[in-house]
Amino acid sequence: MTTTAPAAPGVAVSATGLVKVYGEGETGVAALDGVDVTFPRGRFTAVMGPSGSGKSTLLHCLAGLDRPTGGRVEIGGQDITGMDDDRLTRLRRDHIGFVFQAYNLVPTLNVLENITLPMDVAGREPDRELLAAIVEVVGLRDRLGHRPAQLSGGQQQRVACARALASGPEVVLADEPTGNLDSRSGGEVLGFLRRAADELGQTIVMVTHDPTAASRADRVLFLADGRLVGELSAPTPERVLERMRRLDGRRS
Amino acid sequence: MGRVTVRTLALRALAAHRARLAMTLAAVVLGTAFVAGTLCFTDSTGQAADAPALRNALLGFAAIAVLVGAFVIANTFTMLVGQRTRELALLRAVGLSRRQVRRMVLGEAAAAGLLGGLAGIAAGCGFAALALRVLDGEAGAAPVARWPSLLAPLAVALSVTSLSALAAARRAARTPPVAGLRGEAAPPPRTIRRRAVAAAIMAAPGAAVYGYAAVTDRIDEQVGLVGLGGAALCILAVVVGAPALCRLPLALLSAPLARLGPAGRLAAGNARRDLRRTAATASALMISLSVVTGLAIFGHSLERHTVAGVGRDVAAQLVVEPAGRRGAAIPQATVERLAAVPGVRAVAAPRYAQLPLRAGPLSTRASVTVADPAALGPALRLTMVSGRVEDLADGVLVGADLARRYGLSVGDRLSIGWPAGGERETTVAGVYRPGRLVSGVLVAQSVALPRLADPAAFAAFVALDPAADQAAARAGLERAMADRPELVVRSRAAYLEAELRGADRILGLLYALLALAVVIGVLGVANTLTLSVTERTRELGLLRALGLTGRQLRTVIRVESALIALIGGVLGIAGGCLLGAMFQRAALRTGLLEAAVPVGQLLAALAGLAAAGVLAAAWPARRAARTDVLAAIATE
Repeated sequence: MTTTAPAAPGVAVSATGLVKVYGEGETGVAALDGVDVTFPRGRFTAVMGPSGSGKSTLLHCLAGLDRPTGGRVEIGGQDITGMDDDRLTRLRRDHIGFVFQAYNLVPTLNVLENITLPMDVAGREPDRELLAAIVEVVGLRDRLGHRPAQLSGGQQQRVACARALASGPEVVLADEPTGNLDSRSGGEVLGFLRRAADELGQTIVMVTHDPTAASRADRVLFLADGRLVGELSAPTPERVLERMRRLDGRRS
Repeated sequence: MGRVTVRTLALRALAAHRARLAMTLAAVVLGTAFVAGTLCFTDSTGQAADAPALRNALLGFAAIAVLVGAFVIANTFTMLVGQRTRELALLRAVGLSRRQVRRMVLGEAAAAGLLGGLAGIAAGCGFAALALRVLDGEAGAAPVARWPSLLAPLAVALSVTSLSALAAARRAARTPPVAGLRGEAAPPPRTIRRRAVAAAIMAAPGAAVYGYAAVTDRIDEQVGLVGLGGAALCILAVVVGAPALCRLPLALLSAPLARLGPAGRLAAGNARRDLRRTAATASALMISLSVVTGLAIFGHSLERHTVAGVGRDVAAQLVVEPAGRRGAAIPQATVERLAAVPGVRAVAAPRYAQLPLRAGPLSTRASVTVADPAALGPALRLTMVSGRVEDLADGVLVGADLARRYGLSVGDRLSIGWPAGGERETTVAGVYRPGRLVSGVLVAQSVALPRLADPAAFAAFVALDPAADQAAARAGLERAMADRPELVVRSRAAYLEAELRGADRILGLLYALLALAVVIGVLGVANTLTLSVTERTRELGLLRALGLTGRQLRTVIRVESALIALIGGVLGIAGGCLLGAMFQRAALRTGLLEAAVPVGQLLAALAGLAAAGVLAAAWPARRAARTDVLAAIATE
């Protein structure tokens, strides 16, 4: 990642009037209640909120894993809300990189096979240079033949990051990527995401409840009760924490 | 609110997981049905069949049925309990003792075994009745079920479910409660090496015995049985060592599979993930397929042997024999009338007996063939090793195998104990090569007939004068035996055909049973896959999230299934070749390598098995493709 990618202008992902209701009629619960948000290309955005605020639902809707009840989601200018399952699958494969909290890797494939899996299933040749650069940065070069079970949790999460980045997706969506890690491994993973945004111009959206993790982003969005309730640029852990306390106070 | 007891837990667990219950019951029902069906079928045909050999063969297949059924049940059960390690660990964490966990799992197993066993017995008997009607139309054997045949399958169902549940529960009870609750509760690493060692220990004597039986020139029933035992031991060793053995074909196949793309690579990885499970699933198929293969080789060899034997030994143009095979025989009076028909040169009506034989210090029982010396040559050809056919007038002729075994040669004295007329000493006048119709000690008819207890022949080989008109002679023969409506005249070709048909009928019966075993084995593959798809929900969800289409995921499961089926097939065919070669050597007294291997049929069976594997994957593949991505990746 020595080459500095140009931070392409424009919007990578946007949601307009996003509503997601679970259940029906009076028993329905709105997990998302009209969210309007844009994620500029090349920026690292963290989404925070108390549990039940709808942050995971937002991420799933952005990824096309969950279908919103109302509103629309655009990825790279394409409206994904009307897509059928096959098109959504291809979209995920070609334009989205995922990092989940746990269970990111296919246990029967080795590290390299895991990293190239999305491109393999698409029948695309990986960009060798980019792949080599990413492998170098995550520090996994001598472990490419290892199985996930032979890696520590932090290493596994780094492989997941490498996989998410390797295909050069429109956006990387990370759902609590450090939730299962100790602080040192978590710091490594966050540093890796940070560099991807800085040096590759990679758009990243990360859901987290950890203020320290959120502070590594360019921007933090705060969600409560399915609504966007605030935004913070150039965050520090202290400011994030303070904002979260206010949110909690508002709720009680 | 009632107290929560272990029984409540067991019942709730059964009720809560309908899919799992259905799967368990399906396995138990299938396995039991197979065992019960075979036993019922054996009971019914065993009574109708005249040959005790057939009944023994059928019982042998019932034993195989028990084995295959047990494999399917045990495999399913082990997986089902294995799946619940976390749930059981939770129960341990909240305070259930190991004993209680074990009792709970055993209770479930017994309930499933009892229910499934009863349903399986009903299904099996129904199937046997159906098979009897379809297969045995002409004989019309009525379905019979004896008590032992009904109780044995139930005992199998109960004991196999309980034993495999116990093994799995022990594993679950050993899981430290906390470890089970943390993340993915992986089963403890399983020792494959220990099984490989056990397999080697079993295979060594098996191979040695087999090798002895393969090369010894004293091949008879005992040696043949020992050889078959050796083959069975080798096959069992393969079953025990299958997890280690599966590695090789998997490693060989994974390179070409990886070239198929990520789906192939994923499938190969899945099959390799739990070698014990892959091996156990493949083993059920392997056992049934090795017997099918052995039988096919035997059938093929028998056919070739029959064709060659009739071609070599039968010179007669016409053969008189009972139309059916049951009980009818040709009395000597009829044979004499046949010989008097104009145009008939000679009639050979060989009789067979097992009689006491003494030669010097040797005292044994030997098979004796009685024939008319005048007919040897024109009706039945005889190849002499030493001496001449005509010397039969001066004593007896001895088969070369008998001569070699007992060290007899021309001029030696031996005595035969006759049923009527006591012991009588005679001289070895010649040694001949035993054939299809003449073997053992050959005695002239004039000497032997008055001394035999039941001097009836089963076939009369009629040689015609070179100038005789065959049609006229045939009409003459038919007139001469008009008082015997059960007898027919056949041409040499028709005789050969009838001989082949008789063997085909018995083989057909066995094939039908074994086809059932293969079907059960394939269903076992479906069962295993369905379970592992349920187990791997999260992984499948991850793959879907990463962009595998439903179709690609289905391909992964199908390829995995075909792979397991193929491994079972290849191992089964290899074992079957061992079995079949020895079987035909023992039964036909031939060399091991003279076995006729129906290569085309075996390759077709392999291809069919792979196709069946793909078919078996239909339901699990659909399930996998429909994995709910969100539910699968949700971090609870």
